[in-house]
Amino acid sequence: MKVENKFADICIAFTIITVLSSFFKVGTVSHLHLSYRFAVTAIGIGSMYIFEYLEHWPLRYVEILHYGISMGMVFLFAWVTGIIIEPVDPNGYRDLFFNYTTIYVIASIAYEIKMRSDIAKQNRLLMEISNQD
Amino acid sequence: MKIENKIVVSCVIFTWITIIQSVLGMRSGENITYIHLFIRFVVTLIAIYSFTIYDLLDHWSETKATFAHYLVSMAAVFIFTWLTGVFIEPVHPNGYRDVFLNYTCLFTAVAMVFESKRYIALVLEKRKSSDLF
Amino acid sequence: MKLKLFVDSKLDDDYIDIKYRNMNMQISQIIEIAGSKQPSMMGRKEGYEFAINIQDVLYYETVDKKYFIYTDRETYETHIPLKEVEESLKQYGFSRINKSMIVNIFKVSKLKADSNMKILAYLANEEVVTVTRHYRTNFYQMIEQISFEKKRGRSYESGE
Repeated sequence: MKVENKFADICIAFTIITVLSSFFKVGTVSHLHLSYRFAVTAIGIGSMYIFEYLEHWPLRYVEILHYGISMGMVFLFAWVTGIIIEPVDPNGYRDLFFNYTTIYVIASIAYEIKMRSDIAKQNRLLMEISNQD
Repeated sequence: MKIENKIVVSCVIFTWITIIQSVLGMRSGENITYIHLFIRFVVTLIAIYSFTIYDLLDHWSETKATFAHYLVSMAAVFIFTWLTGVFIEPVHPNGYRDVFLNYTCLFTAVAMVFESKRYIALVLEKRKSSDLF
Repeated sequence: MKLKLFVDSKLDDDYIDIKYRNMNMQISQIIEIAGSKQPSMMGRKEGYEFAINIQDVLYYETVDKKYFIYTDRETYETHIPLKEVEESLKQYGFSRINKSMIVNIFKVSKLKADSNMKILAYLANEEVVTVTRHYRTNFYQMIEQISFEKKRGRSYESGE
């Protein structure tokens, strides 16, 4: 998968999360929080190259591995920014864990639904092809 | 000027603007409202989707079409701003002025990028055809 | 069987003369292929060369640097490498589905996702092959293209 495609994917994911949170939340958000959100999205999406390297593995195993690695990287990122920029809130890691996990699960479910609907569509086309023979 | 994958381009531009503003705004410690983010996304969508005007004004010159595009999209942005003032929260006294300045600057910057790309392509083509002869 | 080829640029049309002692399977296959407009590829089995009609091929596979063609009932070995097969058979509805396999889409009866979300392609002879994630998009695009061309009345198999 090309890098520019990955960057577009990161932007799409970041936009969806930001716009949805604009719908459901009121008040303000700090610029720092937005920057963190972008970094975490970039980690999550950018690390998806693992799906290509482990193509022959079952999807579920790769998802678990990807989740573990990316969650670790997100925690590492939070720890580093805690040292360099501002200390992490006492509930910071917990919030990060829940937010990232929730979004990851939703994205996985959405991916699986899309995959199944693609298969159904292709089966309809295969049926059409064999009927036209 | 035609744009494919308008939603992807909208997400990329929205992300870029948000991140650049976040990085610059981090130092000031200021926050941004969720409404502002939502409005920014809608304005980006208006700006990108209004490129379809170029399909309708195929017979016009590039400059004329760009001007028409600016007028139509600026009007759409003002209408949207007024609607948010009615349904969400009243528009700030300087709201329309800020929207006008921000949108015009961004539009001009993007138009200049497209225009220079087009100019460079023209120059290269002229060079290529003169090389042939 | 000896094979002799003669080049004659003065000919009005190409033709094939077949001289044989007794009719056998190999000769009748050559006659069938020569008289038919269907594309074919050469395969080897038990020391004999066969011309295999593309329409009969289920899939092509490479194993340990050897290349095999699979039809409904037979397996043939061939010398044609994967890349070449991929390029030349694309126009006949063949699509690569993983690192070592190219499948005839006209012989795919259905697709299914297993519990590990692997895409399985069920072939006409009920054999099951795996479509990997990397090749999935192109495979789907090929199916869509064939369906579209068939609706337009274009025959994909003859490559016209």
